[in-house]
Amino acid sequence: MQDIFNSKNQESDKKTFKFKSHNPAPPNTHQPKEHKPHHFRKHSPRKTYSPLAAFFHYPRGVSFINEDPEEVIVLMLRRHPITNVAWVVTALFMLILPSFFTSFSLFVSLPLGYQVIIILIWYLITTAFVFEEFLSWFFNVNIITDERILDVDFVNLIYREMTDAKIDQIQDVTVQIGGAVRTFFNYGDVIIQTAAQVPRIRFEAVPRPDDVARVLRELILEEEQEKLEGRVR
Amino acid sequence: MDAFPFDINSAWWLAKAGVLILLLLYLAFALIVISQVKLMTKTIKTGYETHLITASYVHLLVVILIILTSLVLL
Repeated sequence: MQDIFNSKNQESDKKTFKFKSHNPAPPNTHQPKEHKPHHFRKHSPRKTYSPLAAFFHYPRGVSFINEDPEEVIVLMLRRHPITNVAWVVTALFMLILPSFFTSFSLFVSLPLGYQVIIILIWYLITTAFVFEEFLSWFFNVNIITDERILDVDFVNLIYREMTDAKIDQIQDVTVQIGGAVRTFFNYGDVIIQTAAQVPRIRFEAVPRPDDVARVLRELILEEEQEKLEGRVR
Repeated sequence: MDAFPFDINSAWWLAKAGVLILLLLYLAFALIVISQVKLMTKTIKTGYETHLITASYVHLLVVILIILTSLVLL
């Protein structure tokens, strides 16, 4: 099996991988050998366990709600860290802004107590902004298990949306990498068309989208092989 | 008839009430953040749940301290 993380293929900006359930991969009838699930596990050269990483291959100690006991998380993805630059810069600007408050005569004319409280409130707002942006990035994840794909979105403060589709319901995977920044940092969108109730699941701004598409392709082939062998859970 | 019906003390009391209302609203927000973090950490477990929940409680504590400070200073 090819090493899916070391492919030398140069990918174009937009690629579509089509999977047809009526045309499964032919089983190897010449050399029957024991099926090894998740064969790409040992090939991954870049395993990272940093909590701030955006591309987790077989993450340790990660689980999600309603996870089956036998389910294995193959990939966990977040938006590429470079997508955080905008709010980090904004936060830095908000941090240094109080030092310019003294330039405003209205602020200077206030009693000292009010000046202190206004600055404290400003830093509270800055803290809230940073915390919310970080939580949004940290917990809006895309998960690929050996059985299904999940898109976890926290839309606002207490609203959660979880979309999932089984691997064998995937019909089409499209990789979109557009623009100089996305090409340079190798991140983009992975759009997955499914036969599930939600027809389209989008992994937004994920790192190494071509590798994500390959993992999905491998999982689909593996799922079809399991069906042929009657090992479907 | 006075051109400006409020004296300066009334204006400062209004300002103080405004600041306190703002801080109380922020206190409500800090409580919602705790619920949000609990919901998030319940949904996805990454091994850093304790840190994030602790951070949200520290945030709440800081808000309470600032409210108390404003009661003293204003």
